[in-house]
Amino acid sequence: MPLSSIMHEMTASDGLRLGYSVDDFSDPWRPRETLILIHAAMGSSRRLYKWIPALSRHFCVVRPDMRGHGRTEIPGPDQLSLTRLTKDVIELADHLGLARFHLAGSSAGSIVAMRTAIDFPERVLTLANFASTPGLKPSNIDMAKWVSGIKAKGFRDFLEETIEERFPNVQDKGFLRWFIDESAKTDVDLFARFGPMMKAVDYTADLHRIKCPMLNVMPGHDPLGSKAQYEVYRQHVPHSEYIWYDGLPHNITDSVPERCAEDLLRFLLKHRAS
Amino acid sequence: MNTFKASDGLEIAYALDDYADPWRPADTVILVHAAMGSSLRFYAWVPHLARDFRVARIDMRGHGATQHPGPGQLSVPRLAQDVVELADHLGARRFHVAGSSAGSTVAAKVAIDYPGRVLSLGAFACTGGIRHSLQDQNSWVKKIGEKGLAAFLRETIADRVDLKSAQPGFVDWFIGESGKTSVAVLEQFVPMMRQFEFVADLPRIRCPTLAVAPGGDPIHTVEQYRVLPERIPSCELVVYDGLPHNITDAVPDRCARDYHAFLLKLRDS
Repeated sequence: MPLSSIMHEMTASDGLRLGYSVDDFSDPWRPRETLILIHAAMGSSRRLYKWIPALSRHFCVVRPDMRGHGRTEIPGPDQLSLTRLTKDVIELADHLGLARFHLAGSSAGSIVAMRTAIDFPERVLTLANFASTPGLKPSNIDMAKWVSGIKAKGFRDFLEETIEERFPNVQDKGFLRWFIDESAKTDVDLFARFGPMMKAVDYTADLHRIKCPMLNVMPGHDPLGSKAQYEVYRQHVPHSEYIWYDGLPHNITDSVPERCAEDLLRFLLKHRAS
Repeated sequence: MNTFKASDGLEIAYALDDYADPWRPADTVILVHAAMGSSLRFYAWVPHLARDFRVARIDMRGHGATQHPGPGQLSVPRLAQDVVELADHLGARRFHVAGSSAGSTVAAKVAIDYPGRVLSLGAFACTGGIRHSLQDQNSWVKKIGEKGLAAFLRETIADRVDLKSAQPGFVDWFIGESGKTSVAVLEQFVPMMRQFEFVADLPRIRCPTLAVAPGGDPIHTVEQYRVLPERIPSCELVVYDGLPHNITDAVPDRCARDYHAFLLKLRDS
């Protein structure tokens, strides 16, 4: 069965076509508040479909496909950087006429979300970080090994071989098959640029510039990031809130999506602007 | 909105919302809105239902983005046929159907005429026809013709919505949405509904049925709503005490939660 969200398109200031979907079942007579929700590396915004029912009754939920992912075009040689990815978020908000918005991301998508909140503090109402360090430099990810594995085997075989490490907590074979199918749509050469770009990033020193309410939802048992690595926000963003998912590995946004969405909804309702 | 062409050539609009797991089969639910307005009136129901079901909301003939019917193109059987043709268009051999008020008449007619297609019926604010209701709907048409639809709705809003509990802004929105309806369409639609009775056909509804009735409705008595559980072989009735007619607009989350629980119980039994 197909998922239903209708994809919209816009053109970024450097000419790239960006795809995004909008899901909104909030009461039309109330002031509308928008959440921009950014997917992780590999796949697309479709990976977040299970989040929509919980959130969209209260917020207008906008899910962009990051450069090179899903329905968004693959960027040219000079068209991929973290700065450019944050500009895409702001240009999407401009395109939708949003002066201010809530922002959340998963893993690499959260690296984009946090950097956007640092660089455009006047635009971001609240920030929610799911399972990410501030850039992948402080994480345990061996990006060179991932990239060489994906290049040697192709995405599908690489994912097939590593799927149990990603989802030791998931029994649903249908989900695992779907996750591989969706993620394997990612362009190998794009990932070979995207992954190492994120691995070079560490903006820990800039975290103190995050002034908006911030929620960190963190996997409690993640080989890709230790509890200490994920606790960095406690020090640099002292007002930020934490929720730990004890015992769970990295991909919490895929393996327990409804729990993530409900925790995000509680945080957003608490910090509604209107 | 999506569209398809009905077998008599009219273009019918519908919304489709689906957040069900793509790797499992999910049943289709078709929602039929009340007279006036459009499928938009069900927006609040969607998040409650669409994680487990594929939810299609039809705009009835003459309503919303669906074309207006020409002479001879509007009848209750034709409206029911539109629902079945939408199911065909979606590739749903069997489906759940639910409706609100006049839309529940259409939904019940689908269950009566196409028993092999319908998995269950959700009948919100549904009697076996409105001929014996406490108000003469044909007099509504006269007033609408004189004053305009929005003014008529504003004068009679307390029949539809509990103003003490209604959220600020809701009433204006409801009147704005419903007020978009063509008066020429209502002049055909309301008398057609007024003379359509199906109490005698209720025993032919073989599928499990959930009836949800307003308990404080100035338009129908609770006894009129009780004909459904009395005559439909497998029907449970839930009464929302104290509420006037338009429960599906005024307490949409409550309706959708009750309907979702009914659907899940069927799916998992």
